[in-house]
Amino acid sequence: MEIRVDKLQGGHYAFLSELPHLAEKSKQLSEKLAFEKNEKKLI
Amino acid sequence: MHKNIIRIKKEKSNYLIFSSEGMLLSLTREEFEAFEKHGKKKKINPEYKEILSRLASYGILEFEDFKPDDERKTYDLSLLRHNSSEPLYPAPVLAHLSVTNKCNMSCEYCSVRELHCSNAEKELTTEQWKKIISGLAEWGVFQIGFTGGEPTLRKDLPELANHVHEKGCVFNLTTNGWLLDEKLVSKLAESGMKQCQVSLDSHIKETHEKLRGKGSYERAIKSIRLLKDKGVAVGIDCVVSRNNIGSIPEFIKWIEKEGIPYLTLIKLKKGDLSREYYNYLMPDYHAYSRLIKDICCREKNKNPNITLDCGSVSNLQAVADKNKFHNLPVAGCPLGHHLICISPSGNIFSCAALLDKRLCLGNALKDDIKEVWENNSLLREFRLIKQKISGKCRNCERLDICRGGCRGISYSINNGLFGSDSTCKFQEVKNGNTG
Repeated sequence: MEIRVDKLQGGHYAFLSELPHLAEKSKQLSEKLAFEKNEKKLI
Repeated sequence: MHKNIIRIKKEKSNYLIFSSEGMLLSLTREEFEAFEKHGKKKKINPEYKEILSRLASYGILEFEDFKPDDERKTYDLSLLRHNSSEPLYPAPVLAHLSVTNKCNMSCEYCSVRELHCSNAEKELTTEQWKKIISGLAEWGVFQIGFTGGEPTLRKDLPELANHVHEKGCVFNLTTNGWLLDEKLVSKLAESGMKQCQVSLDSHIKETHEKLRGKGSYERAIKSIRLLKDKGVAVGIDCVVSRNNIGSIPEFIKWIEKEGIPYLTLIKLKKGDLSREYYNYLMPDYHAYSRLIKDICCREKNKNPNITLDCGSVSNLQAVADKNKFHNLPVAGCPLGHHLICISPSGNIFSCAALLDKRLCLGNALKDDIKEVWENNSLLREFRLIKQKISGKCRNCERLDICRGGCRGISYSINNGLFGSDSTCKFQEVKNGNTG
């Protein structure tokens, strides 16, 4: 199953979907780095 | 239980589901059988939970014992891989009907001002538009968007909207909002209008009116609030230029506070503006790219839902590295695949940004639009853009995603139909110049 159109705002132009959310990925990466840093300290 | 479904259409071995919420889904035969048989039940069948739960999260199924909590979206990415003269689909997903060239405003940056001022093109009658709409619906077009000029100048707009709805397509309207009063909004809502875009460039009156004209701000705001009150999903169409780019971050906060669900950022097109004025008004590539990056770093699921027009996709390239775009639902120039445009006299064009009469593909009343779609030589050439493009885009690593930027921009700044979009500075960014 695939989405061809996702809440298309059909004005003059077409675009597949909303802009990607990179913030979550950045947050996950920061948390991962913090966790690894703490692990190293314990060792 | 099925919900929000206006139409189901078989397309070769797949099934298309048209949702009244503006979504078009493509299902395989097995998925469709599960949807048909088990989607009608009140409780979710655990054996088909995966497909049924996804369809529920997309809003076309509802179950008593299941509440979707997060959408996992899978987009059709075939445009990224496409490299032949054949269309992706038997019919475009979107038809733009420019129902009139007349406009009651005179925006400074209007890229089709000469068209608006000309009476050369005779508008089609109500019955002629209905015939075209019926043909588009039967062909398999999903969404029919009314534009112009200013489409609300046509008295038959509610009748045409109703016809779109009766034929099982999604009706969409783009308007400056000036003429939208309670009576017209009610009529359009009753005719099946579920979504509407209003042009608004800023939450700051002076900024908006500087290029859109005196009085336009209040009219736009009033129409947005009226549409919301009537339950119509409102989107704001914001043309990004040097005039407003600095205030867009605050504009987005204002839109969120007002509870407006959608925003589309549209890069300024040159059209028939003078080269000098266009260069002056055009947003700085790096500034626009930085704005897009900031938007990408917003919290997830935060209103408004923000999309870019295809002209902006060259700016999007500066945001993240290629690997991060691998599975993202971005689409570059969709010419020849996703959309078709029909002018006030029924002439067929590949895009609203290419309304030069030399680029006319035929006429919707006189020609077989399906035949035009499949065999017109210009459309077939556009589909081979990756092979035909000249200039810096040709060897760009982002050609697959971007597809050479905007053909309309390239053509209007005399780079030809297959020239590079010279407003793109991605190569500079790659070389370390972020402006």
